[in-house]
Amino acid sequence: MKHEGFPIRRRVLLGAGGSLLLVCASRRVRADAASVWQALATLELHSNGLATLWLRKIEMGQGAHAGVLAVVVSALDLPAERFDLRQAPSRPRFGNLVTGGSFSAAGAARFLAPQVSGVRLRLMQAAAARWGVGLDACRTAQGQVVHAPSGRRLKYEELLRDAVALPEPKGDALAQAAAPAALPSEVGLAAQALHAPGRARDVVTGERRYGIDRRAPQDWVAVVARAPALNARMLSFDDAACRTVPGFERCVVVRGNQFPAQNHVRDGVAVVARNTWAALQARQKLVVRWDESHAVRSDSAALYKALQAAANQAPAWSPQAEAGLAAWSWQITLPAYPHLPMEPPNAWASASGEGAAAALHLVSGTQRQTRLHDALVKEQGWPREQVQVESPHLGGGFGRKLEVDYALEAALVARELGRPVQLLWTRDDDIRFGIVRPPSAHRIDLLHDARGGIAHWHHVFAGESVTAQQEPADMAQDAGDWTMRLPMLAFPYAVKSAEHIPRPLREGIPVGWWRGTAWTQVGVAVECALNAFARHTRQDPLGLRLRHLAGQGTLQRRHGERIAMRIEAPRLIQVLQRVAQAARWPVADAAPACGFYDCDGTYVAVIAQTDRERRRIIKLWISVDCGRVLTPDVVRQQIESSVVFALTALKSDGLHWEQGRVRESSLAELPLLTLAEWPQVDIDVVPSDADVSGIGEPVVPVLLAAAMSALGRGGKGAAAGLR
Amino acid sequence: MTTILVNGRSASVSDPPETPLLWVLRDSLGLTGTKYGCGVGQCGACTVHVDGAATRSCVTPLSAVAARPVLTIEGLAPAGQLHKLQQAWLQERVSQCGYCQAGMLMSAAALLARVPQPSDAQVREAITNLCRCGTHPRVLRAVQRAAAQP
Repeated sequence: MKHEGFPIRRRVLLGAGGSLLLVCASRRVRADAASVWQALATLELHSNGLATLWLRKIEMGQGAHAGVLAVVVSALDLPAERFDLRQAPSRPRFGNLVTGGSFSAAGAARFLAPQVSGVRLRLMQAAAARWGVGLDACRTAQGQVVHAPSGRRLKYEELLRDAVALPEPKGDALAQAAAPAALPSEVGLAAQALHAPGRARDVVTGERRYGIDRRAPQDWVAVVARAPALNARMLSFDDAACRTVPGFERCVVVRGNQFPAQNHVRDGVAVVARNTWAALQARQKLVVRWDESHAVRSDSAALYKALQAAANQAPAWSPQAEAGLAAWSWQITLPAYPHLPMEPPNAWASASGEGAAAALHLVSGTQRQTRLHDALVKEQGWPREQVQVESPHLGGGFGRKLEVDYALEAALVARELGRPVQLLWTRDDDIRFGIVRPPSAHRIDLLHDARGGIAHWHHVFAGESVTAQQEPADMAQDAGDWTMRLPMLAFPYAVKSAEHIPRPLREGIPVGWWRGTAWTQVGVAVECALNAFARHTRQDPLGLRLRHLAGQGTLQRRHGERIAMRIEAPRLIQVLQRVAQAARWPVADAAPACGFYDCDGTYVAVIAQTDRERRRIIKLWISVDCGRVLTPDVVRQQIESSVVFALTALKSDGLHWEQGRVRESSLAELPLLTLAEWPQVDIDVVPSDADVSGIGEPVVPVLLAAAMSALGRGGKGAAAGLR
Repeated sequence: MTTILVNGRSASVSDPPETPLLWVLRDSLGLTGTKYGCGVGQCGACTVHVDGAATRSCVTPLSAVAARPVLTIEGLAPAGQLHKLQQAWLQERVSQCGYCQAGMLMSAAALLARVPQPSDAQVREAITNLCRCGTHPRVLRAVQRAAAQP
């Protein structure tokens, strides 16, 4: 389609009744629809000097939007206030939409920045051609191309027509453009000032609409009476008593799928009413008969026994005896933690048509829009082009909202009802029927010399496996569960030999990705073991680590196709030294921990101090090296966030199963850290020119380890005989 | 029908008297700034003011409100303006996901109305709202910042 002599890309149409979902409505920038250059799938430049950036990452308070914008602002050299931010819907144009892994800003720095630099290069080439000058005499300045010798300037918007005709730069030409002046700090600050989560006016005024707020007054509400145990089947239901509730409409059967599955949905009965209270009241009166003959009898006692048995399973470690070495053995069991996002899982869905004409509009806070879209097509048969998935700002994710179960439920109900419906999980639904961080059992054996130097290290990590449950095809013979092996291979300490043995189990509790994933299990195990070993050998735990990191240099860790890490031991040493200096180590009633996180390379050290009675953490010193920092206050905020996340976890032992049912059902049993319990926290972010790396998750495992060790909850060790 | 006074305006609602105020506000009056977090009074995301007192609306039945004035986050400041707490929240860049923050702000506002210059200990004791994202240190700073304003 041509207009005014150069092609205009059509805006993405969002289907029946859809409107382009704008982010940060209070700072909406009206972009001119008359002429636009779709320079990249996610970047449009307009003839009025504005730019539209389609964000592939969702915002859940972690600062992804500000971070990605900072990258783009720098690479394009266009001021932050000229950008109109929009949330990318689930269209092929935008690729696989998933937010997690602490890789939003870091991923943009690595993959998006070079492409955006290529756009800037084309603008420069267009200007150079128009002026008849060499490209190397041109530079950019905040949305203009400048020819330094003559002082001539052209605004980007004056060059769109020319630039669109130029080929995309590749190879050397792209490399030339891919290095603008190093990301100036004021660029990141500008993006942060406009779009950092803490700057959102609509949050403080109550105007922001989360997924849970998208319901129109006439939309119905559904809450589901779910199978009490995995794979219990719904036999029949009686809603006679529900009809006594004013506002009750009807029930809809939710046919689930067999656990385990990639996207497990339980059998259930959706109770539908005209408003939320009526739905909740009616659900209490619903009577359902379940067939539990094939239900999974999830049981925590049996689960932990199985995990511990697997951690201690034969063949036992039998290192060759070496003169002068003694053996030490240590074990720890780690709980199944819930996610507890403050906005519980919910989804709004509106369906129309049938068969090939069926269409679905779904609005839900989700971290995996594409996975949801694919599941709707493959598992529910919706026509792909007629599904629209929108994710507004999330009221917390933490990995719970990587799962698409609640949205799949909403789609099923909407299809049956033929009118818009909001499907809501209550807090106790969220606790009883959701997913958890996998529990695990660890056994670490080591051989050490008389000075407490570790010669040989052997770690078995037996854990309920997310991969085994959700992606069994990924469980290759040799790699097992690569997500469990990954953090094990990040072991940075110099020893003569180290064996890392992941033992993935599938014992029948529903697991998923918790903030920090398997790093919160492995990192905790390793660091707690080191602290326990240091106590056993009466040596300084910081000194122990520094001894075993000295001289390590840069470590390359590879395994199969999935694992390739580059660990720079000097950066780990540096954060350890910085935190020791800040705390004036040694510190009474305190324990250290450190760790690397692959996102692509964040280094963390923590010292945690307890009160005298070792009941609670009163002070934390934290040093983080996450490479070049784009949005310093957001980074700091995520470190604070990690403190609360980790200390909250330590206030309980997570979830427990009996007879297939979760025992806990309320926040009273899973207490969150209160304002009163916020400790003193000293935060150091290392100034760095290294590649941008993530911050959302890396601090959590290290905090957990330091705090657990300080609180005396760091596992049980003993000198062991050699077999 | 029940008449209630919300943010200075009378509203007639047809909800049964036992309906929690939270759902009257959200579903019947379209005031979605007050959030559902637990439904049992444990998290504080649903905090509003009833007759000036911080109240968890998820466990407050409509019948208990009667004629007492209700203030929600939407009414904390006149339209287009910001309460000094809201300003402080933005200056201290408090929010992360933001979901619990309306409740936090309402708890903080009720505190400052009672104790204009609270100590850190008083703030920590008075604001028991739960936050999963961890805005704790910034909430504490923002309340003090607002308290320092006239």
